[in-house]
Amino acid sequence: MQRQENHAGKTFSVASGSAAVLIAGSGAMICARLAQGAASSIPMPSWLALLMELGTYAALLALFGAPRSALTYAVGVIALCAIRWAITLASGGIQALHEGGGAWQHAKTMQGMAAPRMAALVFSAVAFFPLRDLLPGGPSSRPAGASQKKNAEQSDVMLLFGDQAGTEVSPDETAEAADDSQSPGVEQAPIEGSLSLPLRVALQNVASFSAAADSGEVEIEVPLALIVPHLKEGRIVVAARDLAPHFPPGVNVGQETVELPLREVVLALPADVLRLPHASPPAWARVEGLDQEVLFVAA
Amino acid sequence: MASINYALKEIACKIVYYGAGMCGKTTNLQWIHQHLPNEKKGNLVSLATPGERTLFFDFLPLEAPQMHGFAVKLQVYTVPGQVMYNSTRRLVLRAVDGIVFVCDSQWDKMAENVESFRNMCENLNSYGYSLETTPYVIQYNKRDLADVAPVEYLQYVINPRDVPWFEVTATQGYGVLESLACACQHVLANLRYKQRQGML
Repeated sequence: MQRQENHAGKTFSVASGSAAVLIAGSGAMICARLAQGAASSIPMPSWLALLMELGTYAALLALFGAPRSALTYAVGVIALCAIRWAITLASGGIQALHEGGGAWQHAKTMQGMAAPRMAALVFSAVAFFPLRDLLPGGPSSRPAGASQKKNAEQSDVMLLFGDQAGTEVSPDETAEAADDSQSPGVEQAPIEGSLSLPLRVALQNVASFSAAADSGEVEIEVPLALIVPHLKEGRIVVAARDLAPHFPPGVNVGQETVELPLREVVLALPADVLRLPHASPPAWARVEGLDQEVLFVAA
Repeated sequence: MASINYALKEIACKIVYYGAGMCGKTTNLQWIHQHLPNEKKGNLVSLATPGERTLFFDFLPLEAPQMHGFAVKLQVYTVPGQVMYNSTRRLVLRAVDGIVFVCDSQWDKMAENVESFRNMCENLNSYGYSLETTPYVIQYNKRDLADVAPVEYLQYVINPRDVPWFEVTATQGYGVLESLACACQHVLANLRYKQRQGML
């Protein structure tokens, strides 16, 4: 679902960005034509005009683009300049169609006219806003996990329930948490200690041992480190070679793996082995004040 | 995926009972069907072998109490637990809104429970869903039997994230409706959250 939403979001950005560019171009050209008609050019040194233009782009970017690095910032300003130049050039081309001459010449002529420049600038900003996602380091290009983590750091999500008061949950759902949810069980630090089991019990699933059960009451010490990693699998199958050093001399199971009896092992485990120190329910499970009306009553 | 019909003021949600073979999924639905009042339930559709193994799936339409003026229609399904029917399980999970994972509490079923849970995650992933976004509750079924694992171990194995869980004896109905209601509550809360986020 997450992938689909991200994909849809990016498609939307590209579509809306393209539409905005078209609208911006058309608008700028209309403005240029109007300005030419009015012949209301404002004299301004070209270096000052360029500086003002760059400053305005930088300010617009800071306001709307939220650039996340100097590189993104620079790329954004250059992109805005490029869009504005393209629009100016295009409007020059239209003028050239009517009056003859080259598009570039007309575009250069228009540099002195404030109205087309400002119109193109405003429309460029409009065009750039939806395109900002496509910039390197933009919102859509960041990994989903990083996005979720940032969101979680920034704010908690309020779940509102109709007319009821909002119930707060903190969705610190990182990519790691999502991975955890995909498989039951938890990773734990290495556990020291051992478990004492009668040999007869430990090897009750080994047929060859059962047949020659002569040292049954001997207790063996099985390290917890051998057992705990298998607990979450629902069965404890360990390599015989790992278990062999803990057998009394002369015991040979005669097979590569040994399945220890789950029931006896789990019941003999120290209580803290099964403790879940860092349970982190998903965001949906942390909702409080669920709608208590949704109850079923048996007839 | 849940659908909201504003004209009829109706919400339709899909809840799936998932779990290993013979863990009690169909028993859950049968008990619900037998004990809910007639006006709250439809016909239980079930296709099973003579050995009481679900062949395709079970389906039970239910009506939950109204929520803020909207009628809540539940489509409750079970999946076939047998390993060979994975494509059917995946199909049943399509557009799921909530899951009740039924876990057999018996010691010798632990590995099957784990395998079934993993299989559920894989099948959810195949649709791009995850347990991070799909509400689910855990049922520890068959608690009336003598040789069952303690809840601490079941939690360790199946529910390390501590989602809502219930000790259930489906044959006697103990915990059956409570777990269904909890799943339903979370589904509706999640639905409302998605609606507010503009995801629906």
